[in-house]
Amino acid sequence: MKNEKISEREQTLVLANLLSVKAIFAFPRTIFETSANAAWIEIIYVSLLVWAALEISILTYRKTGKKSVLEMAESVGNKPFKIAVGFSVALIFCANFITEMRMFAESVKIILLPRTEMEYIMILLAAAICVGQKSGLRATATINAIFFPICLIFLGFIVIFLGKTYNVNNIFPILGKGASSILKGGIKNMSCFSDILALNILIPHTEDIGVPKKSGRKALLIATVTMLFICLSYELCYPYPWTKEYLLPVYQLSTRIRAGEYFQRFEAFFEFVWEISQLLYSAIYIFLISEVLARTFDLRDKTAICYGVIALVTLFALQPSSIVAALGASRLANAIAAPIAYLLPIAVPLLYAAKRKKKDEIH
Amino acid sequence: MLLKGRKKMKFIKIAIIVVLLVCFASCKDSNEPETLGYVVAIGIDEPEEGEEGYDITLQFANPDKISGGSGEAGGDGGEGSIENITVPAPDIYSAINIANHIISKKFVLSHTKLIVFSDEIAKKGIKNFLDSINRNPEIRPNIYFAVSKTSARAFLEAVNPKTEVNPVRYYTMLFENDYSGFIPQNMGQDFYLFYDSEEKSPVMPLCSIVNTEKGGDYPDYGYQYKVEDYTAGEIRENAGGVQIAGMALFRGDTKISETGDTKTEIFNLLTGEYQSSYVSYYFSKTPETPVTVMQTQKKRPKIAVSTKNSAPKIVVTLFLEADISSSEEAFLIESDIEAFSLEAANALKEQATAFFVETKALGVDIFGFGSYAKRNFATIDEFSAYNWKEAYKNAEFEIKVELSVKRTGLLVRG
Repeated sequence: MKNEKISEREQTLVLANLLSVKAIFAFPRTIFETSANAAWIEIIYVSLLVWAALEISILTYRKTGKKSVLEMAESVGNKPFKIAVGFSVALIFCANFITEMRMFAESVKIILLPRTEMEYIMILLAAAICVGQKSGLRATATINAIFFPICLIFLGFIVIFLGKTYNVNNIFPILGKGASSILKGGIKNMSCFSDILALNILIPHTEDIGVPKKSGRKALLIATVTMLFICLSYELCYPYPWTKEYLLPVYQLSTRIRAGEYFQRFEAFFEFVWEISQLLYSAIYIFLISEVLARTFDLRDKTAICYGVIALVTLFALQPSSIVAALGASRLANAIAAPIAYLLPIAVPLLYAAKRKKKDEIH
Repeated sequence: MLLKGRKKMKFIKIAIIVVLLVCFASCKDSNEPETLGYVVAIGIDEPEEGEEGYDITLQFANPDKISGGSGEAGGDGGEGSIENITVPAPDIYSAINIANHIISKKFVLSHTKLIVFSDEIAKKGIKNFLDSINRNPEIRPNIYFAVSKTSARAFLEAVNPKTEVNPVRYYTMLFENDYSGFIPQNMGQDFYLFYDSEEKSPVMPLCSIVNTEKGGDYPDYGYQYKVEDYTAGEIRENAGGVQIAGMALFRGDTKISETGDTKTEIFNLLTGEYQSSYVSYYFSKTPETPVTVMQTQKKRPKIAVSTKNSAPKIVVTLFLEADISSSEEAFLIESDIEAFSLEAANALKEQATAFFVETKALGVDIFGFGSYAKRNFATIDEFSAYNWKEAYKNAEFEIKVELSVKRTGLLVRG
């Protein structure tokens, strides 16, 4: 299988995209549900927890080198364990991606194309992902490295232009529903950064082992800052409990921008950020799922399964009967996938290191 | 054979591109502008006797009359740029559905700027409309809500934007006039964000058609001295048409009272939404002639709320700047600027305190002091337990006014 290498910057931005897209879409309202006004505190708390998990997994790199969990799993428990780990990783990615894909299509229908069938929107998205797949990881990462920073700049514009609408009183009472809600909710909402697992899968695509360490930390920082700014702007504009009511917080924010009498209707800014980042996110995710499956089964070429994966993912994304069911499925998928996503990059390297030590002792 | 294969591939690629181009064009959702009826205002009235639901008036733009500008030769100004249709319906969307079958246009709400509720509807409660307005992605957050003292239909039918070609701009100019404090400066979205809130009670502008039989009262206060305290419709004018002045006070989603234009201006000052306007002040040295100033709010008011005991203490500091526009010819205001500033500040304090006491008696914190009170609590539960709405009825109010007269126009006498 062709092993395309990507630079540190590209890897950082690929990861930052994966981690930030949820913040741009529906995730902020989940955080407001648990912590109310204190959502911004919860984000800092969640990012510290994820940071700790990331640092622990980075520590294991010293022992494991440029091996992803799949290669390590093979060394630990041969083919069956590799298949089990590979399947788990693919399922986590699918859980993260399928719900996002459905939510994206639903939101496009609500906001942009109310008369177009949602299935049609999803098929078009799948077609666009296919084009992205054909270009490969290197091309997707390069395009992402160009467009994702532009998306962040546009998001920055939204945050700045809203300045006039901000009401500082909205962040009070400062602890929202209370410290215990933040602590419990933070652990539950760690799922928002569960895409960090992709860092481990991308290890073989980097030049040296120093790259994932740096890019992981930088991407988490970018995603934390993005989510923090979005949540803070959102709650400065909308008082609780409205913050947990709106489906798309950033869209809702963009509708409130008024820079003078004539400069209004900033939704176009949001739509640009939204569509570009989602397309790149989807292309990267399909690459990751196909890559994991191909490496799990030692396939020489993953092109064939790519299209199968896209078809499968689209079919699954179409399953929830309504947007309410899709949101429910998203919550369930996150609750199941997140703990495994954080555990795998720590547990498998530890098992690998233990096995290697045992081997060394025998030798 | 190879060439044939390449040609075949080329054909397939071109075919895919053509299919994708057609698919991505989103023609299915496109609408020609001339097929759309842009609803600019909606009026909601009680139904006629014996009927259920509401009488809903849709005011829509007439694009043929809007084309070009008001300054263009031969233009009719804004006359005829809007049309009205009233239909009985259980809600706004049903009304649009019915209207779509009457008028040969597809009505859209993407340019809706105003929703007018009749007084009777406002007194009964408007909660049901708020949910439907909030859900629809077509309706933008920067629309205005207003309560009409006459029927909403009569108000909308009397609207005749003579000076504005674009009806949306007409409403924007009316409701967002930076040089008038007589209309509460808040968007419709503020209403539905706070109607169910523990920290603030909402207000809405009052509108009406001109009713010259009624007049406002001259208040005894020195703020807006000799200016009648009008509500919409009461201002004597010869142009006729519609008026927007004063505001309706709500408890939850139900209108409980209304105030005139002077108090509305004070409301804007206390909430920091006031920009600037001409204000006439009583001055003891010229009791017959008010001193008129161009008053500007220099910065947002400083508000501190103490909730140490069950009677909260509210301290507000206003920062105002004034330029003298007119005074009694025989008196040299320039020599007594300090004394005037002090008297003007006291007049404003007195009027603001009286208005605060009025809202306290009604039990509605329209100024949103509760939002500042929240700062004293760590959690939402603690704030809820304090019961701000009840505590507000016992609140103490202190207002400080820093009013400085900066300029005296083109004259500096003395």
